[in-house]
Amino acid sequence: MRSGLERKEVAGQIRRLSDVLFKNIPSGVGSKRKDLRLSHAELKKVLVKGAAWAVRQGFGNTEDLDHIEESGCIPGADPDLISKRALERGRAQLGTLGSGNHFIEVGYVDEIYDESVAKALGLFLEQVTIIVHTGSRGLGHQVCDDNIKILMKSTQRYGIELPDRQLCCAPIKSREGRNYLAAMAGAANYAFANRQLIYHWVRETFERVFEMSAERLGLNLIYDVCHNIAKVETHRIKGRGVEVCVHRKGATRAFPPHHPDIPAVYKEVGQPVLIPGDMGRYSYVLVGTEGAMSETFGSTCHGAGRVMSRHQARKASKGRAIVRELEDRGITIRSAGRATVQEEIPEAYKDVSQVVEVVHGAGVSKKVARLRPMGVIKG
Amino acid sequence: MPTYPQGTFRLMDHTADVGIQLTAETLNGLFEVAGLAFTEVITSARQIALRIQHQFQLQADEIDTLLVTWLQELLYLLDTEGLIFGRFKVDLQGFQLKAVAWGEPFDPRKHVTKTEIKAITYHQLQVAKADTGWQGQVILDI
Repeated sequence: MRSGLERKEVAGQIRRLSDVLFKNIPSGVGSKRKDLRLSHAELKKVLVKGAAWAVRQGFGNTEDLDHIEESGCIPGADPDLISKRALERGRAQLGTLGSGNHFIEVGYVDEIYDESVAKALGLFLEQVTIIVHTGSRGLGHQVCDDNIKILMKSTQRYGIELPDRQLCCAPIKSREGRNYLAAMAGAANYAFANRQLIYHWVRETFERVFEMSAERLGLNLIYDVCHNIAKVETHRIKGRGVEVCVHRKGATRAFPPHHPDIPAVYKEVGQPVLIPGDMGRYSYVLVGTEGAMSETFGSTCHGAGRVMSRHQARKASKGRAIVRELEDRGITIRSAGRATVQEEIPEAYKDVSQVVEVVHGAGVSKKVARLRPMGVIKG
Repeated sequence: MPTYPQGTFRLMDHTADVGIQLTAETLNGLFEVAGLAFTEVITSARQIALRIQHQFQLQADEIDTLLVTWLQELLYLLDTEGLIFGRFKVDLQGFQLKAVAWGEPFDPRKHVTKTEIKAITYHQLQVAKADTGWQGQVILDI
């Protein structure tokens, strides 16, 4: 999300802003919202309609939907293929951030690499931005667990030999394959709705802290993009258009200018791509390119990637006051668990600038702007 | 009163996930220590008051997938009812599990938060008879 605020207008309020964000958006182990208890019937509507369900309930506006991959709804979701267990897990967690590497980050634009694209995205130097990273929570994992149980049997039936059971699979067009994709679409739609709710509470929080409406604060969605999803798309292979299933696990879609699946407002510049770094350094905004279409099925990277295991990171944090260290660098951290902060220390991740240089250099996406963190909410 | 499990566990380093390596004299003990390891990834088992008792009845096609099913059930109870357990008593009959666990609702004001577990995986899953008992390994997606 972008705001109309500049860094100097927010810097003095960043602690309070972080406190209120942390309070308004549940995070951490066992987090749930007390004010949002859906019936199974209502939850099934979430699975079919995605972000539009949230907008219809008054969380955000229809303009947001134009700035979400697939307009916040993957078609073909079948809620009857989602188990009661998945619904139970999803019902308790809708509107929560979760833990681990999930976060909300308030930051500012500290460098612009492409003025005209930045302008098209509504970005300018020193502007305050917000990144939200979360997904389908326990519901998505339950959909995965349920389907792994089915697919482990399919793998045997289709005579597929695998080095590891977690890799179980079935042909896409088989009944199991189609059922899985319809269930996965439901989980993706849940994730779109979850983030849409959180955007709303981010807006509410800013409204409260700055005593101004979200419209006046200019809190608009730049783009919402998935990074763990399989989608049926048409790509050019050996000169002709072929329908394929592109699995972006730890990857982000990066469609070029004029691709029919990107919002009209970004037609000339390409689809925005967000690459979060770590909580101490920076994150990047990029756009998709033709290079991505010809080289990587319209895909680019999705983050820095870890360089230390969580255990190593905890060891490296021993005896250090990580929150204070970051505070000294002008970054406020609010977290449900101290261990999460230790596991997520900046040096546990690769320098995301090097990762971004690689994808930019390879031409599979193009650098637009760099964002530096001011306040980070961790689960 | 439930007893401590007759086994040990070790957390295994894995770049983005965490592995738990288990050893116990008996297969029941292996499942009990797996429950404890699950809790220890999330919080500190010592902080959990044993005031709620929960019964489990589960089954699977194989002993290793039963171990995954068992941990998935613990995760399901945490996600839906907020329950976390500090003590376990497991009784296996073939690939059928009956168990009792003692614990209470997770409370971030009382219980330390370490890491949220997202899923229990089948990746590098192992349950095997060793010279002096049983060994197991499960990778948790965190």
